[in-house]
Amino acid sequence: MDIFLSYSSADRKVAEGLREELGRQGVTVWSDPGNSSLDWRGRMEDGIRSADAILVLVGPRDGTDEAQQLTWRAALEAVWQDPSKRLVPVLLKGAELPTFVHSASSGEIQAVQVENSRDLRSAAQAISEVVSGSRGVDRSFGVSYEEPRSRSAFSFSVPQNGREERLARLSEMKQAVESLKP
Amino acid sequence: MVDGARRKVREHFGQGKLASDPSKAVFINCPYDSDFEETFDAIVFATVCCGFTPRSALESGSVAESRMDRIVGSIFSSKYSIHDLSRCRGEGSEQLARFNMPLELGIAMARRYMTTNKSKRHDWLLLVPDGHVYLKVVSDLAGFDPMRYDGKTESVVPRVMSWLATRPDAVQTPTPKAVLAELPRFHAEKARLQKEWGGNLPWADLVIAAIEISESMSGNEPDPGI
Repeated sequence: MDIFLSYSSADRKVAEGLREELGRQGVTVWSDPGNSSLDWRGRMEDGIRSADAILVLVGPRDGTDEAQQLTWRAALEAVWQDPSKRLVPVLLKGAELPTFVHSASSGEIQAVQVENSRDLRSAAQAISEVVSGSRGVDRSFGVSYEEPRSRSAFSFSVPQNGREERLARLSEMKQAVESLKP
Repeated sequence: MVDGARRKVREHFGQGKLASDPSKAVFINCPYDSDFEETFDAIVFATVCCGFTPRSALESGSVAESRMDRIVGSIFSSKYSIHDLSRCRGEGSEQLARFNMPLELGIAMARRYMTTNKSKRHDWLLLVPDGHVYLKVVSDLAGFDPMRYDGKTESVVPRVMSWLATRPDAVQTPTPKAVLAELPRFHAEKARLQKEWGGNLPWADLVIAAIEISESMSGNEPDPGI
């Protein structure tokens, strides 16, 4: 299985570690430190097009890296073009799920939460199982647990409640524009 | 206010609540002549479907403010803008390129560099058709890599939507396939409104038409996929 790994420069160390661990599990990972040049963009888009799945690694400070933004856009267009291509968000501790993930599919999206970025073997295990479809959802999104967590990474289903927010935004826009009518 | 049964006019767009939330506004700097109308409409409709209010030089209507003042006002009250350089090429017997697009892109760029707060900084999308040698026309744009498309609505819609869906102020979007499926309905409604307004369709009414069609999409989205 070929996987494309999107990450920001701030998370490079974790990304490289994940790539190594996934490689040990027989997964080919395409990743290339981005620099937003046209050459890099072409390679990146080719990598996404040929991948079976796209991992979107998100750290707590992500979202402003230009190269990362370009990969997010390309990833979104790729899954729209080919719905069989899986998009798997991988959230590091403290990271928020980027809004665009909700737009990738109207069906279920399974994500991986990495609780301990020092145990990338467990993270890679969770990722490869989610990508292959052999792992169900470990936990509900946003649920907190009282017992000590025994896993360094777990999978969860991305809640698809963005439709209500979009409708509310459209309603707000409409009210504002209609206020201009005589 | 109504000025006769056939020739209605509309108050200037961009006031009231819309003026106070630039983070949800996108200035559309694209050609809107008859050759480009379908693409322009597709960009406007896709923008609305993504939950953003489109602004345009077309919104100005018949007010006693200079066109440039109105355009600058619209750009400065939009956090985002989309620019298409299709018309920056030699045309007609004199082989002249149209420079309104680069001019308005320059205004948007100035807006960006005037803002030090990263979260409020103006952001733009540059669209260029395949094969366009835009760097020969505006060499200062080297380094601001544009998104290329093949000139068709089927390719410009995903480009616009993937950009808007990844902005910090984005909401969940429908798929490009769903938007393209509803585009004929938007074209038809626009044609009907144009007739109703005697050819002077106010921007506000066009935007409302797009919003209403987009709202009706939310319960009936087809399967994902472009």
